[in-house]
Amino acid sequence: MSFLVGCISFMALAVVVPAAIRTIQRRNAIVMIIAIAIVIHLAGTFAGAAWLGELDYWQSAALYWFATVILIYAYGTCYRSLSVQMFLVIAETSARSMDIRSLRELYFKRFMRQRVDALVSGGRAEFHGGLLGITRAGRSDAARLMAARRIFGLSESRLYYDRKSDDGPPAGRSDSITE
Amino acid sequence: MIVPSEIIAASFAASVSVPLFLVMVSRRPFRVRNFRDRFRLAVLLAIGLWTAMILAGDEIWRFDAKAIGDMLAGALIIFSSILTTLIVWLLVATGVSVNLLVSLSAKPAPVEIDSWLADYGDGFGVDDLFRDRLNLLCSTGAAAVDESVVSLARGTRIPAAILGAAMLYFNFQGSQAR
Repeated sequence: MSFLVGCISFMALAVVVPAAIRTIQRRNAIVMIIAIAIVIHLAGTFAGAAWLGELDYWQSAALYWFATVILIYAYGTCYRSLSVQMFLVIAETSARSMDIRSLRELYFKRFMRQRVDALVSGGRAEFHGGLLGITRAGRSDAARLMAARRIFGLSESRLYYDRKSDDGPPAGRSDSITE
Repeated sequence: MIVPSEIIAASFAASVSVPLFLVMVSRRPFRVRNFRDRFRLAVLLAIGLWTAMILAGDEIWRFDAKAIGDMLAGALIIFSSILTTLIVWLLVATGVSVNLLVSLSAKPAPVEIDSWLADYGDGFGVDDLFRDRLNLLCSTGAAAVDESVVSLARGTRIPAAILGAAMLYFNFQGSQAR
C-alpha cells in the first residue's frame, strides 16, 4: 500500500507538471519541476499516512522519486537532445527521409545557433559588435564545469564517439556515415 | 515509519557510492580508459556493494513482506542514483552548451561565431558534432544512412508519436526553435 501512495503521488505530479509549465513560462523548467515534486511529495506523504494509518515512508518515497527522476530525464531529453530534434525533423517529412546536407545546413546549424542564443539570454555570453564574448557569470560557470571535468577525469570536450579515444561507434551501424 | 531499515540504509550507502566509484575509475591508479566502460564498471561496483551489504544483514533472510518491499524500494533508490549520476555525468562530458561555454571561456577575446563553431572543441566543430549525433541516432536503430540520405527505420512511427506526445506534454514545439 505504501508503494501505491508513491504511485498516486507521482500521478498527481504528472498531472500538475504540464499545467505548471504552461502557466509559468520558463525556458528551462527543471528547477520548477523539482520544487513542485517536493511539495507534492510532502502532501502525498501526509495524506497517505492519514489514509493508511501507518505508512512505510521509504517504500512510498523510493517509488515516487524514481518516477520523478525518469520524468526529469524525459524533460531534459525533449528540451535539449540534438538527436531527438534531428529525429523529429526527419519524422515530420512525408518521405521520412532527408538529404544529410539539408539536415545539417538547414536544421542542425540552426539548433546550434539556438544554443548560442540560450547562452546569451541566460547571461553567460554577450555580443560585442557582432563578436561573441563570455560574461563574468559564464566564466564562473565554465570554471565550475572544468573543475567537475577534472574530478571525473574528463580532460577535454568530447563527443559520444570520440575520434581521439577508443570509444568507437557501434560496429557495423554508423561508422560509415559520410556524405 | 521514518527510520530507515537496514536494507534502505544499505541502499542509500550504495547510492552514494555510484558517483564515488565513477570518480575512482576515472582517475589513476584505477582509471578505465574507455568512456562507457567507466560508467558500467562504476554501476557494477555499486550494485555489487549493495548486494553484499544486504546479504550480510539479517533483514533479507526473514523473507517477509517488509523485507521484500524494502528490497524493491532499495532497488529503486539505487537505480535513481544511477540515472541521476548518468544525467549529470553525460551533461558535463558531452553537453553541447557545456562544451560551448567551456570553449568560449578559453578564448582570450570575443570570437566570430561561425568560425568559432567550426572548431570549438579541441579539434572538433559543428560538422563533427553533427556526424556524432547522427551516429548516435543511427546507433539506436531509429535511422539509417544510404549514401547522402538519412531515413528513419521502419517501426519508428510509434516512437515518433510518443516523442511528439512528450513534446506536447512538456509544451515544446516539436523540432522547431525553443
